[in-house]
Amino acid sequence: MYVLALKMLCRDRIKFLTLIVGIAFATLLITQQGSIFCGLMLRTASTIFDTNVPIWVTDPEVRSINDSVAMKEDVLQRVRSVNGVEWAVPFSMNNAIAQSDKGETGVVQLIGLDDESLIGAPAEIPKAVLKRLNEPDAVIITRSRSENFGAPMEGDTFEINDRRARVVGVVDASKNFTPFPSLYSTHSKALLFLPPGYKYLNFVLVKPKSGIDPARVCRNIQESTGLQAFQQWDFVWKTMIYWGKNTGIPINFGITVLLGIIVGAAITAQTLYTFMIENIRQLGTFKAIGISNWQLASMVMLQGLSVGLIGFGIGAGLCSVVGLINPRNSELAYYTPQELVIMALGVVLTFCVLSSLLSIRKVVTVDPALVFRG
Amino acid sequence: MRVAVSLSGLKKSFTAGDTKSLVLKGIDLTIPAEEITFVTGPSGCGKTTLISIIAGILTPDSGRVTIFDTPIVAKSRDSTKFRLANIGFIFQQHNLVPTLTAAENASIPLLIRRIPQRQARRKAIAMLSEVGLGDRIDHLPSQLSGGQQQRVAIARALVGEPRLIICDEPTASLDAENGFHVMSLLKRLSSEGDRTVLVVTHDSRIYNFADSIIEMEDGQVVRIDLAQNKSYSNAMRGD
Repeated sequence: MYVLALKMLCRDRIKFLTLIVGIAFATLLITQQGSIFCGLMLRTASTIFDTNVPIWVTDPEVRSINDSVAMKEDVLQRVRSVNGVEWAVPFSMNNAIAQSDKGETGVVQLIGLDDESLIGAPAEIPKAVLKRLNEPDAVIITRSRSENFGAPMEGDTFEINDRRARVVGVVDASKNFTPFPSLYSTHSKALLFLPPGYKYLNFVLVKPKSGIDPARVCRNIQESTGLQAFQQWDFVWKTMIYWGKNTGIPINFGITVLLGIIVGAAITAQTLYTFMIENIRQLGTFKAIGISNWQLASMVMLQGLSVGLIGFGIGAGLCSVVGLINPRNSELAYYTPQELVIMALGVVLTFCVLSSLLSIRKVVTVDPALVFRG
Repeated sequence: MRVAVSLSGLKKSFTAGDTKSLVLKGIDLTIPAEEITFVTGPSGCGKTTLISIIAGILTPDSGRVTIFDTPIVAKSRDSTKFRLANIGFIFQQHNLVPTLTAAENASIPLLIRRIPQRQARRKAIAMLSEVGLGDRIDHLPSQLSGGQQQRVAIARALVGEPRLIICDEPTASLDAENGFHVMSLLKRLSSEGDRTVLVVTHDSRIYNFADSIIEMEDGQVVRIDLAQNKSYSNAMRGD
């Protein structure tokens, strides 16, 4: 009987296609907007991913990677002395005004890496280029957001707070959420580029000793220094939550996703319901012949879930295609985590089930006597 | 005489707004087994209500229905199972599923009984061959004439080998020739399978296929004619 239920559905091609297109569109809207949302939120934490160290130590007031509060330089030694810490290096991140040799002026995000180890540099920077940071005045600039400075090349110079900076490399690091290019330098040089008299150590990057639980090392650091210590993903989440709470991003994307759900639900419910109403005489015949309400309800549920799964597959597939053809580091922030796909599947199947239940109510209450009326 | 259907004290009323109308006013009736019985009468006399109650689809206000000695309680799970196993239906509008082929439509009662699809299809095709549609098994209803559609409906009604076949105006939407063929077929198949056939009809052209004719008027049985006393005209044969 269930095979016939599927045949009844599939052979009514116009309705079948309407249902599939409606559900695919709703799925695409949910997953595509969700992917852009996830991509944007991850971009707020791109520096954390680029730095790729297990533990971040910050001032207790820090709420995100961009919310950098300077700490005293002596915290570095205090962190290094904490039980379970293998190494700890400084990492600074501050905004500064820069002027290129072409005359363009703008803000740059100045990142200072540990002078000796250069830990915290993005993996995209080749080692040979990274080593050149030890040259006098050397900086490495990210290609993205550098257009405001006339797309600088190796050998170009900048003036930052009356000090000369020389570009020794242009790299494709991950795009971040700020509209400024990043200038990588050593920590000591970065201090020279910034106004004197301030402390500019924002973060301490830590690696725990082998075999020691990083969470335990974080607790040790917090108890010993009174600072905050996060594992990498905890700091990512803290940053994303900060941006989520302090911008309209979740609300704006939430509305679009909700719209997708409503449109999909409306199309599915309306078409499934119309499909049932138009077949009501045939379904009444089934009831007169002796089909049970349970069998009838199962048929309707099967039809609803089938179109739901097919429509979802097409919609999610299209979403994946967008992700595949979107170049890494393009302006379109796009990331589709599997949790988003599972959530979208849950939403789509839920409204298919609810739409089917609406139709089932009509079908199980159909008066089989209607089949005797001409 | 073996009895197929026994009705006693059957009453049924319908309420529309403030108006309550009594459609069946106490029917006592016995329908013999393995015969073709017609129920006739003017529109609104209660014919359709009567067969709906016999089929266990409508609940009577009072009275008792017994089919092959089994009491029928409308809309109960038992009566649904009984109906599935013992009653076949043929409707005026055929009520075929437009997106299913003739074979698929004919196999529906078997599939509802959870008979495996391949076996159901085999039986449905055999029954379609019986009704002369062996070469139309994969045709959709829209690709069949009205008479052919009604023959698919007959195949669907008979494929489960029911003991009682209830037909509601089976020839009303057919021309004279097709109506005659459909009734001939029904008579042949029912006599071969020792089936009881109950036909509600207005169509005086087919009255001579009846073994007995029950005439209703205003919710009551007013006359029962046995075949040997037929007094109806026979348009088909020009009697």
